[in-house]
Amino acid sequence: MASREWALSTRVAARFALAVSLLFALWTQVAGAYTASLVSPSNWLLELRAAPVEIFWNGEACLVGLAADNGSRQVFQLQGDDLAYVNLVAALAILAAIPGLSLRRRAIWGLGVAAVLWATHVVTLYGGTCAAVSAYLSSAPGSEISLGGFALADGGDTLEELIGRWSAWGSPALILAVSVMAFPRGIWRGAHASGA
Amino acid sequence: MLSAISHRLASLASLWGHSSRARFCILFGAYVLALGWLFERWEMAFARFYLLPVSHVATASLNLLGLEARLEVGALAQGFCDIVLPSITLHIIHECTGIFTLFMFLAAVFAFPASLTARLAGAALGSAAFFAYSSVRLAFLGVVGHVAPDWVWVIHVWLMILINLGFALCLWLTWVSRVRRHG
Repeated sequence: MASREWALSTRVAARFALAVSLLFALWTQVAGAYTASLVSPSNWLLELRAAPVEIFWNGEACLVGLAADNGSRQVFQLQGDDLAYVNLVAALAILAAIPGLSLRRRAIWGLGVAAVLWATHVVTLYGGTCAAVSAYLSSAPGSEISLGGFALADGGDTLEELIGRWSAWGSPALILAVSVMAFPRGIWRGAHASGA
Repeated sequence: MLSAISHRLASLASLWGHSSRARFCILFGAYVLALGWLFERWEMAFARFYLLPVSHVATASLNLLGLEARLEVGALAQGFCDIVLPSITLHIIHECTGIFTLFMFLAAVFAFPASLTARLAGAALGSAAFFAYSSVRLAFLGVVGHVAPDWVWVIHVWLMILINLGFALCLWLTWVSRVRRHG
């Protein structure tokens, strides 16, 4: 009996390993384009707050440009943002590995989870930029950079903490919850009989 | 107004009773929040009773492989320790031990409709499996750091972010299949 369960998990693990290998190889090719796709909506969110800050994608990394009151322009690079987006690969690989799911349902769930994660990545880039601006201004020599009293830099530490918690808890929890939701109905059958 | 509210509540209760998925999602979210609170509250205990033993086992495994690893625990109070190898130092923080993914697994086990005994057994066996997996993963990262330091970053991303969730899901699926078969 137990061998059946192990056979199922081995099959799922093998499919997951194959999917994650292929998707990660693909990811190394498209990661730049994916990050670039986050820039415009994140800038739009910054514009909503009339922030004198703009995010750029230079083909290799995200840069943040700050327009100070005195007309000067400061540019610095965001760190580690690309690492946060790789969970998309994990989510899609899990969906590819789920047993007994039709191709159509797999595609629908895949598109859904990709859209949700893309939205969270936009918010993460926006929040990460606000936190980075805060850290940059607090470390700027003499803090002579003024952003016209703009409150973007306030609460940078809290924002960074929130983003850290989202990466550690929220994002994996979301992926696991969506994956379990995507499981075929069969997995829930019989659950009530033994349910607490 | 009151009848509309009671009708809504009745609909929600009906959904709770009939939709295993909705119930799972709500309970899963609640358990994740509870475990997050527990972790924040007793982070030091998790460092002492999970991060440290995992690092110890990984260091011992690396020594068994003849890599002359040693564990620096001086900074454990700050929530990390270091596995020092001749060619590289691995800075071990909570994320490296896969503890957050273990919490996701535990939340998924407790949220699934099964008997308390089955849930407790799943949590205990799953935690042991995660402990072993995390130790092996850290030891493997140490071997990669020793043999091919340039590959540490790629392997780090693979092992820490990508494989963790897959491992948790496979483990959960094994448990669910067993629960469904044996009750």
